[in-house]
Amino acid sequence: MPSEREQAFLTLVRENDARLRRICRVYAHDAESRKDLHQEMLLQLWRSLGAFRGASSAATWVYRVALNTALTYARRRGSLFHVPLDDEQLAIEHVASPLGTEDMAEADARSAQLFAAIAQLDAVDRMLVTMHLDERSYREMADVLGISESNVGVKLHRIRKALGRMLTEETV
Amino acid sequence: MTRSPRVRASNEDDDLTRLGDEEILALVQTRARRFERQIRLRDWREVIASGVVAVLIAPAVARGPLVARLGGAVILAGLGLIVFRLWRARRMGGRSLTDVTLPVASALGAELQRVNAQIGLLGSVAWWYVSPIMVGSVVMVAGRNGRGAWLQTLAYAALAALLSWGIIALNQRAVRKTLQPKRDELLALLARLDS
Repeated sequence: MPSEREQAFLTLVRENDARLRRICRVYAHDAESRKDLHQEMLLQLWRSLGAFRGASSAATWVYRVALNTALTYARRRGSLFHVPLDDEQLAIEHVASPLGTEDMAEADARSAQLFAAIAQLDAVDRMLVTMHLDERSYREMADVLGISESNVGVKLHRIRKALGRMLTEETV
Repeated sequence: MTRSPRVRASNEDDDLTRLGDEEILALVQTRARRFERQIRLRDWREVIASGVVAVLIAPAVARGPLVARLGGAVILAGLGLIVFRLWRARRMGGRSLTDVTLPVASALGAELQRVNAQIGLLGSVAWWYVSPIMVGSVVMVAGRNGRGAWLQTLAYAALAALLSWGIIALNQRAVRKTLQPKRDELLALLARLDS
């Protein structure tokens, strides 16, 4: 029978599982690295759980822990300024959808392109994109990063332009 | 506010294995225990090493020629200084490597502060780490050898100077090769957040 702390941790992990996985995908370039980073994030969440007082939303708090962990990870791996995509990653991203429908395959391919473009951004921009994909508000993003909301807006504008350019170049 | 692009859920469902509750708990608890053990070991390593040296030196302080006892006392004081400097540096820098619950900019700022403190600590290693031990040991050897064996004392002093130079050079190299690039990286990240 899990203790109260264990139960709270499991709930937090389950509710934020997709977020953690998305961050792993954005910050780690192969299956082994993603597994490493995922475990590191779980460890940091477990160790920090006692510090969560509910002053911010659970999602904001999880983002702080996970992105700080991912940033440390990227610094250790020397992938702060872009994530080198290897053959394995490309293979994963181009794999056909299990359902095999054309629409889904197309959506997969589009998403693969998007993530490949995101991997070319630097670590700070990747943080913003990750939260933007999760439809977090400017206020939440500012709270996670410790910068102003207007700064978030300016950065996102720049990132959207850069991503747009990259995706256009790729499809041309 | 512009809406973010919708990304199909299946694309988030990557190659990470889905763990069961018990597996997750076992994983984090095992890793947390290992992590805490490493931190404890790091915190106590210098204290234990200093304690061992102190036990070996203590008899020389209690008896023998006065100059040798004086040298032993300098070494003991030096060991105390080393333990104090390291304890203070860790206390000021926080116990864990990064407080991951802080906003990213604050966490980076705190780490920058810690790296600057480490640079200061390693940069001044000659004064708080090397000098007291080396000077103390040379005085102790000189006291034990007496005036008759000045050549051996001189040889020991030369060896101690060489060793000191090696330790200082190694620490300066660590600052140059590891800490300064780390500081530059943190400054670049903070500037990137601010821009």
